Amino acid sequence: MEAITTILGDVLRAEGFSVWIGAILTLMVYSYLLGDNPLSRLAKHLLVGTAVAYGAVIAYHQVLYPSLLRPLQKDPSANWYLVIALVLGLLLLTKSTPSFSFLGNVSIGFMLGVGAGLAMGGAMVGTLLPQVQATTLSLYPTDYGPGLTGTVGAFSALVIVVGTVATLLSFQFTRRHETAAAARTVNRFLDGARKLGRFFLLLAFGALLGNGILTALTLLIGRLQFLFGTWLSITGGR
Amino acid sequence: MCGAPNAADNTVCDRCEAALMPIGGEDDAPLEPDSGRPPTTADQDAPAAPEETTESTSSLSRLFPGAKPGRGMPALPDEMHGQSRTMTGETDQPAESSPSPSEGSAESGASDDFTPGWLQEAMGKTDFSDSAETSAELPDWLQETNAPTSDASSPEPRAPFGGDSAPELPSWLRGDEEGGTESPQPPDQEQEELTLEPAALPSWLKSLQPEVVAFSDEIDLARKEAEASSGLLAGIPGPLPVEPIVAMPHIVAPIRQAEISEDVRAGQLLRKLQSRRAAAEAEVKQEAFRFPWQVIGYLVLLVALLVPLLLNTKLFNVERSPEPSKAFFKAVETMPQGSAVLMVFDYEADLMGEMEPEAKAILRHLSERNLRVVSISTVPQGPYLAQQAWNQVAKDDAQTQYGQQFINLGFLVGREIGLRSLVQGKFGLDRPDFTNGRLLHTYAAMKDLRNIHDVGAIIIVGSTPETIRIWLEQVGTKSQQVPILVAVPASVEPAVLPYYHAKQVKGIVVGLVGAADYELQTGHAPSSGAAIDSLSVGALAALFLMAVGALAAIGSNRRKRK
Repeated sequence: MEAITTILGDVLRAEGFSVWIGAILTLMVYSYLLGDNPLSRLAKHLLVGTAVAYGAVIAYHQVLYPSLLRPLQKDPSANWYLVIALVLGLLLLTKSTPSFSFLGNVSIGFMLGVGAGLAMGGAMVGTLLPQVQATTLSLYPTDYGPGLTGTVGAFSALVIVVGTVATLLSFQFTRRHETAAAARTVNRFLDGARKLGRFFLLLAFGALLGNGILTALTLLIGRLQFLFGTWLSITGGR
Repeated sequence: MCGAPNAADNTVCDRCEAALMPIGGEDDAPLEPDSGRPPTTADQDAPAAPEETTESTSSLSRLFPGAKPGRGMPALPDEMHGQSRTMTGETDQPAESSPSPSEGSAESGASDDFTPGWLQEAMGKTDFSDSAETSAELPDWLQETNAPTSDASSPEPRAPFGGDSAPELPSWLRGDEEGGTESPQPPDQEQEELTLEPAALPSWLKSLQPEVVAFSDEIDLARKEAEASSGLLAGIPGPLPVEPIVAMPHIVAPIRQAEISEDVRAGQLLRKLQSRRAAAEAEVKQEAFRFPWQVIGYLVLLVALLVPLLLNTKLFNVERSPEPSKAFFKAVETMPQGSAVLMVFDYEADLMGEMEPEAKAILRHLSERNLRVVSISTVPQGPYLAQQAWNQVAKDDAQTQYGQQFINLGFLVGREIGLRSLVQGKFGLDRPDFTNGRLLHTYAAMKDLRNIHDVGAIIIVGSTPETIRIWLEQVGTKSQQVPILVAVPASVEPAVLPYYHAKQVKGIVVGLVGAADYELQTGHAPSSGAAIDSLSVGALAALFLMAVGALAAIGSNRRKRK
């Protein structure tokens, strides 16, 4: 029995075995290109199952035991407050039973409340205000350097400011009533700004698409290197 | 109108000077001024008023001299004058010799001179009022009209709508009756009422009773039997049977519906499903017809990616380093030796092909700089991928050891909450590490590290914009003195660049090309040289396919417009 276990352990730890498993699973996933088939579905199910199992193991060994169970086991009187977290966590399990699922609302509300508060505060301080401040740029070339460098810097700042303002105006979906000439002028200005903002949006979407294609190609290259290099040893591999 | 008897040849009443109308010539007579409307069927069916009865009786007396005129005798309808004479004629005369009712009606209207001979003969022989046999042959309505005639001595006027209405007369009209006594009901009539029983049909008659047929069958039957009896269509079968249909009694009969068994319905449903399946299969075949174009696209892209890998070409060189990458390298280079770096591995296995080269290039540089690396992750797969990247770097440098230059803290749960606790709290040195399960304070790499503010820099290797944003929002704002460096895939670069321009991020390494560039900056040959060529050729192939697809779409649209 011990011999079988040892051999099995050596096989599982062997790099060649894991490479074969990885190559076969990669081919099973790519078989979806020829149409939906049982092999691709099996590979997807394996991915979901192993990911969930791995997540459960990580949750126990990295979160529950070191942060909750071990302190309670080691010194309960000093870590009595962890019982509250334990109870809240147990209440989450009632969500799987419809008749008792309301008990888990306390834990859900606690998490949502704290999470939403932190996210809102972080977004204001970490993203919105710094980005607005970064858009407030000087348009004087001398602030960016002498000669052509300053001119390029000022033009770049102008593009950033105009692009940001026009993009924000493109999400302005209301118009003023054209009862006066001033209102008509404002509306014409807003229409032009909206068109310019959509132009900047298209540029941004184009950049996102191009970078997305590069990412997809890179991932495909990585798999090809694994198949033709690490597995088949035709190329250098990774 | 006054009811006074007049001579037969009078045209004006001797008493009231009203215009007299000859009997049988009512059709030509003008309408009475007080009525103002033509006589209706109800008027004709209803018993006449007493004065009209007198006038009619006088006319009848001219037709039937032997008959005794009675006060209560009702006026006969116009057509009944002829019918009565016809019936009279049928009594003694053969049908062939009898004139038509219309002829009799027309001729008898003027005077007795126009009475046909056969009728005068019949009238001379027959006494209608006294003959019981003739009375028995008369129809019921005529017998009923004759009844008051036999009781002509009664002074009471007959009620217009039957005897039951007499007690309902107003008191002023019944004043002359108050002194009198009620006329006792004849004993014979009373006896008949007592002995009336519900009619019971004999069995042989019931057997002849026609069966109730459906309404539609009766309509068909009526249409078949309908035959015009007058007018231009007289004698022609098949005119519109308005009267039989309208007068048809409403027979409640269940509407016959076609009875469809469950098997037939199941069969119909099966045929319908089969037809749908056939249509779906046709659509699938039509979709499969496009399949070769997709395969051609796949093959073009596969060849473009594989050729540089197989031939190990060096077509494209990474020579130009972008500014964010330079800033990243500079930030690491300026860190004092021995300081610690918190390295975040927030990517999963799906993006390992692009993220791992970046992580390895950065780890190698940090190891060469003799910087301590403390890894942490907010995604479950991150700790394992961090360990794998470190193991590959440690292969090339035998002096690096786990626990000395590198330590894996493992998984940090809670996203925003966990990051905020990481900023405000401590590393928790009594926690075990991810790789060996030993407590953190036992490792040399954790020396003098109590919280996140003790590290020299934070390097985030993240695969999504949200990951970078959360770290910047929750950690970057609380530890502004600690520089944050970012390594992202190419698809995330547009989302991270604003943070670099806002100086929230000190440096960025982007994608596979950025990893190769970083390796060049550290003095190493890019480990992914063939991959860079493959990526470049693949990008060109993708551009080619997009251009071909756009041209094909334009041509297709023009063909559709034509």
